Amino acid sequence: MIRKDTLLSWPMIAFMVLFFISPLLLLAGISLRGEDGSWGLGNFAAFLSDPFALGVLTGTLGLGAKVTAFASLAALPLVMLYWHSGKRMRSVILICTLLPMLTANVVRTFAWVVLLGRNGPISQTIFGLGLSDRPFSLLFSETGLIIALVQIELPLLLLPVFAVLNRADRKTLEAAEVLGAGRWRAWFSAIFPQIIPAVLAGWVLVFASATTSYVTQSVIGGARLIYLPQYVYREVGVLFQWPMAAAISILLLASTGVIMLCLTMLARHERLQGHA
Amino acid sequence: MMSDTGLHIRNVDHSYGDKQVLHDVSFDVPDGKVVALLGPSGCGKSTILRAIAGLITPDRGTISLAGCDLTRVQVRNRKLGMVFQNFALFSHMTVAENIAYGLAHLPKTERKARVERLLELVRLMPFADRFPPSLSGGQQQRVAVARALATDPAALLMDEPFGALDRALRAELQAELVRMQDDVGITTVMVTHDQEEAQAVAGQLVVMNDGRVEQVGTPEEIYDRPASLFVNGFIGHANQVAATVTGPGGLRTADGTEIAMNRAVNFIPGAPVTVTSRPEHLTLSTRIHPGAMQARFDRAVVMGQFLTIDATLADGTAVKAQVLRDDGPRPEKGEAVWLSPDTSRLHVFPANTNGA
Amino acid sequence: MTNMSRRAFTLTGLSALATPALIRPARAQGGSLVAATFPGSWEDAYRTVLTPMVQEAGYELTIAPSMAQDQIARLMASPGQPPYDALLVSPGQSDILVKEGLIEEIDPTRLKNWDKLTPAAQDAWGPHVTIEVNGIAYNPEVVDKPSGYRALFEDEQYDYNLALIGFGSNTATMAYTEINKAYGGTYENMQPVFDLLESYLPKIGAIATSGSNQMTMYQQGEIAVFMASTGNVARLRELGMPCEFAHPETGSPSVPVAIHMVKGASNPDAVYAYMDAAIDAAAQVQLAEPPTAMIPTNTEVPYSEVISQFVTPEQVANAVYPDWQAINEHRSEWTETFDRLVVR
Repeated sequence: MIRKDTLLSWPMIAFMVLFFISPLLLLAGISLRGEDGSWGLGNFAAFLSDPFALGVLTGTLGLGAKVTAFASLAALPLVMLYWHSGKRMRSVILICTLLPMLTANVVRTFAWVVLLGRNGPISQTIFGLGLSDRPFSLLFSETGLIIALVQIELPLLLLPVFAVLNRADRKTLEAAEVLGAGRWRAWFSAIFPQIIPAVLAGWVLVFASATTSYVTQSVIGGARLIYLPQYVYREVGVLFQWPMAAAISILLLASTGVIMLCLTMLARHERLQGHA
Repeated sequence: MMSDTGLHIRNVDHSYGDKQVLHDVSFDVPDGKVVALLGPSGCGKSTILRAIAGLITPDRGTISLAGCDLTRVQVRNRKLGMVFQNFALFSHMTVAENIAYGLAHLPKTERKARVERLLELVRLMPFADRFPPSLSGGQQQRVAVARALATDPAALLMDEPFGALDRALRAELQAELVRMQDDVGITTVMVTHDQEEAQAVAGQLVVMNDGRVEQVGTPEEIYDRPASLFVNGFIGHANQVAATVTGPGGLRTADGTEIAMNRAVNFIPGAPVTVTSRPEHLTLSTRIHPGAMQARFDRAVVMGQFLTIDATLADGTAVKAQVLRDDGPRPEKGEAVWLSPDTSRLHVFPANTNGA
Repeated sequence: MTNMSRRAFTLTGLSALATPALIRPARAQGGSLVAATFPGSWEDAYRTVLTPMVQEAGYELTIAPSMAQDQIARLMASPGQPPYDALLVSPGQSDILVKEGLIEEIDPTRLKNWDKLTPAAQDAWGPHVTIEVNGIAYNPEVVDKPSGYRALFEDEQYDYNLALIGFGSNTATMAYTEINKAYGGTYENMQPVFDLLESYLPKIGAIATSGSNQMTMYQQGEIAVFMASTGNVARLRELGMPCEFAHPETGSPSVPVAIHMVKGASNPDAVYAYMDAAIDAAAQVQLAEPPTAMIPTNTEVPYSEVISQFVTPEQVANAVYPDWQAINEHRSEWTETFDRLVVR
């Protein structure tokens, strides 16, 4: 028997099964196909027992973690500024945050190519100030990649936090102040817990897009920094090793999935329940 | 005169943008007493509470506590306790951690002992390690009170502390607050819009309206000798009848009834006034009486030993009377009745339109 | 044959993944075709020059930009429902396509311009539309003209200015095999070039992920030398960059570019019309001009002024044509080795 009230969700469920679940299952199926035509976990074993491939995997997860960490550091002053701003200033900050999102990821990536290059403003300024003895390029370096990814993914962290700040309970902050807490302690005990679920959601988004941002990784990172998306692309497009590519995709999905699951579980912690 | 004990509010003005929300507010809270700020919503009572707490800085006026001027003191240095309307508990901290929040400066053992004492005071010992969202409204309110009292504040401020609770629980917690107040004896200012709550908890009421203090006094003084038509109508029910002054102690109501007061009124003859009476100060008769107002009987409701009577004067003014149920007349609906006021208990105010 | 069944399974699976590729633009008239072209200047040029010509012949031409290797991947992903009717690839890929049975031999009698092609361009699997002559692109404002591949690694002025890319690129693959030869290696032994790369890496300017990535870096002044085709150099000049082309002393590795008919193409007539347009003298005259500067394969088309600055018909005749069968045999392994070598 089909309950009437679930009827409306059926087209969506059918859509998900047809265009998301079934391709995913197919991908999982392909990943189990060995080079000699046998079934099994051979591709996974081959990947995981290859130190080079494992390095790529940990490098990818590490990149996600670093981008998430630096995006959080970059977000903190903006969040503070947003919190202390009036209505009009908040709109300005919000627009400035949203505006880059209206530009394609590829465009933003190429903008960073210009900025990070040897003749770009960053290098030229530091060289001009005499802080470096010759112009340098941040392209093809992890530092440059992290800088670009932080800027590109930052809105994903800021927007959920701003949304929560807009309806944050100021009374708790006042309560903390009346109880003698200093400005920072009051903010961290009253407002910060309220934004934690949004921060966790933002982390999930930033981490997932940083680890999978093929374009930025390959254009700014170059060929000497290989991450899983490029690795998968190479298996598919250059080596035509699809079962292996499928296995790597499943591993990427699984490892980012595990990290997201951990963050989601963290958000379910009893201490955060009141704010969820 | 500013004494050196208790809380004193003097000539406080405040505006939000162009809108002035406090006009020359002054009142005192004697040391160790409870004062309730009472008034309709938007009357400025919460604003003055926030000014006392230091959450806003008033445009003008002084606030002093135990002889110290607080006006320029930072919020966190005022050493006040505050209970917020929705309690504003830290929901990521346990009950014990909430109570200990203001005690960060104390050594650990001392802090622990103090938290335990407060948990006992508000009877929440078994809930020490629970998180606020898992507690009932009443329990949360007690946590909020304990947290505010933990710092041993010089005064306690409460913003609609019972507003978030249901009616039955409210009476219980009000009684508990009175008990605690007797134990602790702390100077307290409570904001409420509920007159019964104010009367139950506070020895002194400050009735506010439209950013102004209308009257300060004990519940009895305010009920019996309202300073304004607003106070008269806001605290208990007041029948309001339009009248004109005819002489030093004489009034004529709009429908022509002559009322002879037993005292002189401070109005020049011919002045339009509003004369008020409490329902219990009207007597009901089915026959014409001198000085009684004729009315049409609408209905009567039994309230214990009393009958609450609704009637309508000739000019359409609704009037309520409360009479003893025994041996009174029981008129039919639509019948003509006569209501005689107890002239010693009538109040006369200048006629105006902004009464409650 | 377990190998075949495995492939069949994989192909069926991936065909489902490639479903979006099946949603093709609806066309009317005498028919339509989807032709894959390299992204960038090729795509722009083919769209502007060939679309009207094919239209005149009565067919609707849709240009789908895709790199050569990607074209194969997509074709493999949707057997029986090819996303393209015509492909544009080099022998490196043609070889794979023939082996996988993904393209058809053509009927030369269906092409009016067939006889005007140079003999080398008359390929049974499809006409060659141009020859890419590869060599070294350099910025004359930064470095001197390199004499050849060895100079790039041995003359200090190229240190930190040279960009390389992986074996995914035909241009790069040809350069590496030539460099390998110069250092004593063979197709069977690529160790000399890998040893050279390993020792040279600390002085490398950049290792880019693709040819276009490399050109972006050149534009930004990040690098001043890279392995390029004459077309790449013409494109950079068109963009206002100072850029010169140098022929390596060991000969310029050249590679024809061919149009192939996909097996099971929905409209072979349209594909022939498209092929004919691409080798038509009128089209090749236009394509020989900047920014594409494609070397013509139609004998009636003279070398344009810009092409003449880079190559002469004699140089094209003497060009080095790599052994793609040998390359394809080792390409995966070389790709793997290169990637592992360069990753930090």
